[in-house]
Parts: sequence; structure tokens; C-alpha cells
Amino acid sequence: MTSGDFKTSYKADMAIFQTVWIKLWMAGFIVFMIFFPFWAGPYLTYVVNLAAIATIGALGINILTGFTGQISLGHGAFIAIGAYSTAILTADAGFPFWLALPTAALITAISGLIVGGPSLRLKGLYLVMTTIAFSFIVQYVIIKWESLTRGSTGMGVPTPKIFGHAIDNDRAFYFLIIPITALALLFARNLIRTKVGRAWVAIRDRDISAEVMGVNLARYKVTSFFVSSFYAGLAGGLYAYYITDISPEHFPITLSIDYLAMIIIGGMGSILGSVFGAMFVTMLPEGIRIAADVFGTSYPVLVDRFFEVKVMAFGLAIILFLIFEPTGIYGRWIKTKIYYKSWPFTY
Amino acid sequence: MKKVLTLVVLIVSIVMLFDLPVHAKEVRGITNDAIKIGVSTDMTGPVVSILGQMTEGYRNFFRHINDKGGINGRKVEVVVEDDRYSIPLCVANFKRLLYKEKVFVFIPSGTGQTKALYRNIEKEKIPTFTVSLAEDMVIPYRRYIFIPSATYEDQITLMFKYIKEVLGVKQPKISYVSPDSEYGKTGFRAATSTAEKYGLKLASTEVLALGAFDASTQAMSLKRTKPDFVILVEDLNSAVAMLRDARKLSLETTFFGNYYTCDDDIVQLGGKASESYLGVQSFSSWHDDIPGMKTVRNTTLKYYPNIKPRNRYYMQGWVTAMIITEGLKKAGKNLDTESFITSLESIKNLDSGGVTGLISYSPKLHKATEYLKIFKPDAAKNRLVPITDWMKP
Repeated sequence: MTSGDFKTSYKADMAIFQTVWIKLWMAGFIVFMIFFPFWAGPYLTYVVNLAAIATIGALGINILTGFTGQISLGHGAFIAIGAYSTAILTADAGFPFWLALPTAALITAISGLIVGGPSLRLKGLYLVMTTIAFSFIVQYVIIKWESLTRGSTGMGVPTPKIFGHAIDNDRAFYFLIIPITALALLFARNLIRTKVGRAWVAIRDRDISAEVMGVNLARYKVTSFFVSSFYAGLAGGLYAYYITDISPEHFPITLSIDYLAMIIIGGMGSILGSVFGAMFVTMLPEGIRIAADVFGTSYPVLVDRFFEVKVMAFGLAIILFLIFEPTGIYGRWIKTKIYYKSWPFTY
Repeated sequence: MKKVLTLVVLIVSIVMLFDLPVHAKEVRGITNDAIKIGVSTDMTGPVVSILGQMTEGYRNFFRHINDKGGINGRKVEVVVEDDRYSIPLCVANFKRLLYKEKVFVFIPSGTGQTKALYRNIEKEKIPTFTVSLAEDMVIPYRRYIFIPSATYEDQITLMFKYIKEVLGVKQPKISYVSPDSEYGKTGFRAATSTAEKYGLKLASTEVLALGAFDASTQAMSLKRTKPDFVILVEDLNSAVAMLRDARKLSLETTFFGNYYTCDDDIVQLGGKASESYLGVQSFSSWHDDIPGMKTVRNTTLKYYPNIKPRNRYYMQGWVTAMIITEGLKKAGKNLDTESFITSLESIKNLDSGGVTGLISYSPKLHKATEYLKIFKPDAAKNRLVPITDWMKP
């Protein structure tokens, strides 16, 4: 019987899935994910699809805010750029799906470079202000540049086709969105382990020390904006395809705040935290609904005032997380894992 | 090699999964003793004062119908979901109501929401009564989408007709005030094209955001233009701000408001400033002495004895429910989606007892009516009173 998980090589130490058990769990999870939409039906599939798209977006802002420490309230604007680029490339330029999505993500990433510029001189609240200003500019351009974006009327996005298959129902989208999300997660997880990721964390923890150690602040800050916006563009593009008709109303300023809330709840500076946060925020209303169904008979207020309770629960969740678990669901997850690992001994 | 093989098997099996048929079709939302109607509406968001009462309107009308024995032996069940007037949430509610609750009729919460669902509505073939009164909901013809009243465009056209033909002003100077959104632009397009029809040009246009509390800049600018009439496509808050600031600057003009400002609240909030207001509306007031409104009042007070007078949007809910009921009745006991649509399209001159104008649909146009009334404030009664009969634009 093995008494612990000892590594004998650097490769084993760096592996993402370290033990046989984790690999087995992952395999089981993948099988579960493949059969999920058949068991769950279209509505739950829709919720999971949205959560997966939100996960990609949350990964983006986590890279920028959670790993590099650059607080941004412009993430919603990047998502809007991604969505509109996809819509315009597909509807007007006639790009096929496989070309439109990466191109749109790239366009968003380049716009991220532009916003990243000022971040070299601005920090903290000042950067927040710059990114908010950027959101307003994007909103304004989308509404005013009618020849390109159709203004406030919004524009339709053609159905994507892969190998002649039209992706036009929730299940088909599921098999499109989930693999892309998995790839996005894998890429982010790996990126964080490289020189780039370490440089970002160094900048987050103390930019002066990072510079003293030889980290090129300008380069890595701008890279962070680039990668973060690329993710936002990807999320926006998928969202546009999935919702089929986009308008400025889809991308209010509060969207950026929602994404920030996701990583606060999920866990800043953690890849898994982005998943937890996105899932939590998209699924919370469902959870409350189940609670209302179960406890509705003893607490009729839950049913009568369901809508108000839902809004309050969301606010309460954010406040409670900030007070009791600043590391988010991810932090709680790690603590729970450690607890069971050492159970029944607390050391 | 093994890894590649596993991957290939995985991809092939996923592609095969794509081809499996999605759920089999059935008459969704209809059982032997119930008909389900799904509503996605704003219960906690920015337009709850409008959509909240509208939702009460559906509920109370159907409760009234159920108490009278239902429709062809079936009771109507209204399932309400909150979307806080957000498009993504409305889309989520659509899916939930359709796939989980399996509703027969769907009511979405606004223009953007309905537009985002166009393709889904068409694909799922679900009869939809949209809350939005924008003309492009029903033109071009969409088989499954209906609106329960005259359009925003009709309201603007009628304002011009009233000024030119009823008041007989020969060369009126008309300005236009609206927010810089699709709602405002729809009105702007209607205003410019109608003005052109009468050989006029808009004297000026001003932008005033929805929910604004200050309109002094706009009032100043109007004071320079000196228009005889100002078309006000706004919501209640910003319309009141506009009226007040215009009075402060002693701007002498008449403000002509549309559906979303033409309610008794404008007199109660605007006070003396509302004297310069005229409004166009498809729905009568709670206080009007007409047979249809007596039923509305008596039924509502029966269920909620202490309730305050309901607004015009409650009437829209009431009338929408009335139209749905008429369609269901006509379609008979063995109804399905297509027979319901056909029976709705055969509705001719349905009389709501004056709550709104005569209602007709046709297989070409899903707009319930073109009839509108003009209202003006009555300071003594502290509400709006009609100054015309039902008019067509």
C-alpha cells in the first residue's frame, strides 16, 4: 500500500493530472459530459452552454485580473467586440465558422493591445477608470456606426456549419462549445505554468520586485491584455452564434461587473475558480428555484416573492464570499480536499 | 497510435450523436384539463411599473375565465418567469418555458427580446404575443407573432393627423424628442416619413435619455426653435422632467406623448406642468365609464378589494388575455398550434367593450387594431380624459 504520492521526476511533479485516480475521475467526467445533453434535455443543456461560454469569458478576466493583477471593468466591451466581429465577419464578409471565430478573437485581442497600452502608466483605480471609459466608447461606436453594426437595431448571425452540419439546436451547440471550452481551459492552465504565467503572477504580487528580477513589465502586461481579450473575443463569438441575434442591449456596462463577480466568487488567480464562478453565477437561479420548490410549502414567501429572493440571494452570495471566503469557491474546494485527505486527523 | 485511434473513435461517436433526432413533436402545453401560457416579464427590473401590472392583467383575466368554467372545459394556467428586461434572461426563460413547462403560448418582454427569439419562435412554431408594439414585429408577416394593439408607428402617424386634420394647423412647426435607442429611432423614422407625407419637415430633434430627471438643456434648445408641437417618445420619468423644465423656462408649446407616457401618472407627477401635454393611447383608463372597463374594475376588485386603480399597461395585459381566450375558444376542443393560429387570424371586430378599439387579425397582418384615442389632462379629476373617439391613423 502506498502511503503517499511521491514524485521521482520533474515531469511527474509538473503533470496536470497527477494520479491514476484523478485520471480515472477525469475519464468518468468526460463520459458524463458526452452523455449529459441526452439525459438533461434542451433547457439544462442551454444553461450549461451559457455557463461554458461564461467560463471562457471568466478565464479571460481571471488571466488579466486574477493572475496579472490589472483590474478591468472593460471585459464586457471586449466580449461585445468579439460578438460583433463574429457577426460582421459571418453575415457581411461571408466567413465560414472555423475562420470567423478565430479571426474575431484575434481582432478582439488586438483591441486589447490598444487598451493595454495605457496600463503601462496606469495602475489600480486609474486603470479601472480607463477600462470603464473604453466600455463607453465601444458602446457608443456600436450604436453610432450603423453602416457596420446596424446600430441599436442589432444584427442577425447566420447559423454556423461544420462539415455541412448546421449547428442550430442546443445539443449541437453543446458539442461545439464544450470542446472549445475544454481547449481554452487546457491552454490557460498550461500558459500559467510557463515563463509567461510566472511573470504575470510576479507582476500581480509586486510589480517593482518583478521588474527588479528582470520581468519586462511592458511586454507582459500587454501580453496579458492580449490573451485576456482573445478569450473574451472567443466567448463573445460563441455567444453571438448561440443567441443568433445581437444588439447593444446584450452588452450593458454591468456585464463587466458580472464577470468580475464570477471570478470573485469562483476564486481569483485560479483556473478552476473561473469554472466554479461561471457555473455558480449561471446556475444560482436554478438552485434557488429548486430550494423554492422544496421549501415552498413551509416557507410560502419563497414562492410568492421568488423573483425578489433570487436577486437578493445573488447579492448576498457576493457579500458572504468577500467576507468569509475571499479565495472563492476554489479556496473552499482546496480546504475541503485537504480536510478529507487528512481525515480523521486534523494535521 | 492508440491515442489517435481513441480520438478518432471519440470524434466519430460525437458526430453520430449530432444526427440523433431531437425530441418528438406533440401538442405542447395542452392537456385534457389545462392550457399553459408562459410569460417572460420584468418583475424586479427597470420597467416593472409597466410589465408588472401587465402581468397582473393576464393573470386576473384568466382567473376570471377559469372561475367561469375555463375554455372548452380547460383551465388556463399562467407560468411567469422574471427576466429583469434582459435579453439573455428572456432567451433562457423562453427555453425553460418551452422545454420544461411546455407552454402553448409564449409572451416575451420587449422588442429586443422578441427579435432575439425570432428564429427560435419560427423553428418551434410557438404562438407568441409580444409586448413590443414595434411595427417590424408583424411586418413582414411572421406566422407565429401577434401584437395586441396599434403600433408605435401608428401612434406617431395619428399625432400628425390630429394636428393637421383635426386641429387644422396649416404649417405646424414640429420638434421631436426621444432617447438615442431603437425605441427612439423607430419613432424618428415614423415621424420623418409622416412629416414628409404632409409636406413638412421636423423643426429639430433632441436626445433625452430614458429615466432622465433633468431636461433643461433640451428645453433651452426647444425654446430657441419655438415649435408649436413637440413629439415626445420617452418614458414617464423623462417625460415629466421634460414637461417641468419646459414650464420652468416658460416654453409655450404642446407636448404630444405616446403610449409609454400616456397614463394618469403623468398628471399626478407632472402637476401643473402637465397642462401642456396631449397623449395617444390604444387603451382606455380604469376610470372611464364604458362597459368593458366596468368588467375590468369589478373583476379586479372582486379578487383584490383594496387594489389601487390599475394603469393602461394592465389593460394591455387584460386585452392580450382576452384575444388569446377568443382564439382558444374559436379553435375548439381539439386544437393545436396551427388551428389556433388560423382561428386567431379569423378574429374580426372583437369588441372589448371599449377597453381598446375593435380587434381584427388577418392571414396577412397580425396587428390587433389601428384604433387610438387622444387624451388630455384634467386637473380637477387629476387624470387624463379622452378628447376624441377611437380614431385610425
